[in-house]
Amino acid sequence: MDKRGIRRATAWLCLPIFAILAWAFQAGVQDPKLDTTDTQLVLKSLMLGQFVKANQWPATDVSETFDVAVYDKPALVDALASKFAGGAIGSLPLRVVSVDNVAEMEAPRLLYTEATGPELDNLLKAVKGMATMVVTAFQPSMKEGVLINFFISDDGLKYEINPEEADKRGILLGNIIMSCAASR
Amino acid sequence: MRGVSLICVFALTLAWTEVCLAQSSAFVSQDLAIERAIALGKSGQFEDGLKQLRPFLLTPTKEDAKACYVAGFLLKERFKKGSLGGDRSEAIRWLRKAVELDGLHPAVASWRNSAEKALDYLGDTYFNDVVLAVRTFEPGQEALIFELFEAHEEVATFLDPNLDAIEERTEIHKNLAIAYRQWFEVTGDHDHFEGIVDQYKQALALSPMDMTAAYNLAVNIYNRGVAQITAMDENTTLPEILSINESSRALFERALPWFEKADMHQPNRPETLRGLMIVHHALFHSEQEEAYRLQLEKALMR
Repeated sequence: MDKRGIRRATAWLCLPIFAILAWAFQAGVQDPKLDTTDTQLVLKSLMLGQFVKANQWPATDVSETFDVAVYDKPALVDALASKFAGGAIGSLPLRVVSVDNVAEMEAPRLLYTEATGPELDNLLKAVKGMATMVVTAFQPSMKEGVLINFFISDDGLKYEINPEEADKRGILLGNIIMSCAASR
Repeated sequence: MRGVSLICVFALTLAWTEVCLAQSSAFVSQDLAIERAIALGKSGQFEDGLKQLRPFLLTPTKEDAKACYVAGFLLKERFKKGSLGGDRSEAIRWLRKAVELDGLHPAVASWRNSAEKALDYLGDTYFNDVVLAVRTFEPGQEALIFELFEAHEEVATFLDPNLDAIEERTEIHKNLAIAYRQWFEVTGDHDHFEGIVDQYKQALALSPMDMTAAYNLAVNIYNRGVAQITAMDENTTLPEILSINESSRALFERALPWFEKADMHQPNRPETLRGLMIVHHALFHSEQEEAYRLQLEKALMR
């Protein structure tokens, strides 16, 4: 075997060793990839889904669908739709709609918004007296017209309820919703 | 009187000559034994070769250094041919002895370099075994893996007393953490998850400035929290959602200091800033989330 041949043979013999060494130090790279799922969205969508399922709304002859409206949060609409759309609440098919214009909003059974100030006031005005469960997030206190408000505690995302508002709107809150509610 | 003195001198000279002859014949017989051992080794008769050397290995002195070297070399060759693992440690023992005894001579022996190369090779085989053991790792085999690594480390530090094996040891812990993650992904066993955490923490105990260990530890803990949330579906009840919400939050809080540590070790690294932004988002810390979002934007502009 000539010198070149020996060199080539040595290189081939060394290849598996290099492969092993390269593997040995793979820990130097990122492992695993960071999961970028929006956990806030998932949690909110799951809880809203339960709010829809666990309460009773007054019967209506007008609506052909059970509408869940989300104001100015298209990502939450997607998260909700992927889990709950296609299902039914009683005999009505559940529909998740995105709302950015209050004037165009049809009376939904549930309205979720993170709006504050005058923007929130407008929304509340639009559904005043309707059988709409208004759910807000991170309001400093329960605003009149709001039935459920999300807040953050040391244990994570919680919600508080306003049973009087439910009575006003003719919505019968389920036992689970009542018992799992928290107070600040 | 003079006659007596002459007789004494003659007797002493005779005795000295005999000692010298005996010594020289011992050297001749050792040289012959070594030559025979080498020849037998070349023909694959390792046991017979070792038999030739045995008389010189009982209580070896510096004159037996070469015999120790040849014994070590024969054992190494037998190990290479696929003998039992015992030959490897014995080979190392005799090669080390040979190098130590050679150190007592004023000049370096011609075979010294070959002995060191053989030791280096044997030490590397231990390291290769570590790599293979990590590759086929099963939880609970950590002690065995570190036994193999320590055998490698012992040889390496014998050859280079200034060698610092901390980096290699850290890498093994990090690789074990990866192995534990692969197990956890299949089993979902809590102990396997804690195995990931424990291995990264051990890596960080050895190398506190290791950014990837801190970052990977943070990501593993954070991802577990996310996995708990994404495992829920429309059939998950409200009490279950609230309970998982609490347990996942505890994991996010547990991940946060490791992200911060990673950021401290390598400031402005986009991946870490993204991690910090996301973990604060998951914890509903909107102000911190926004602060890290701005930092990330700046880091990406650089």
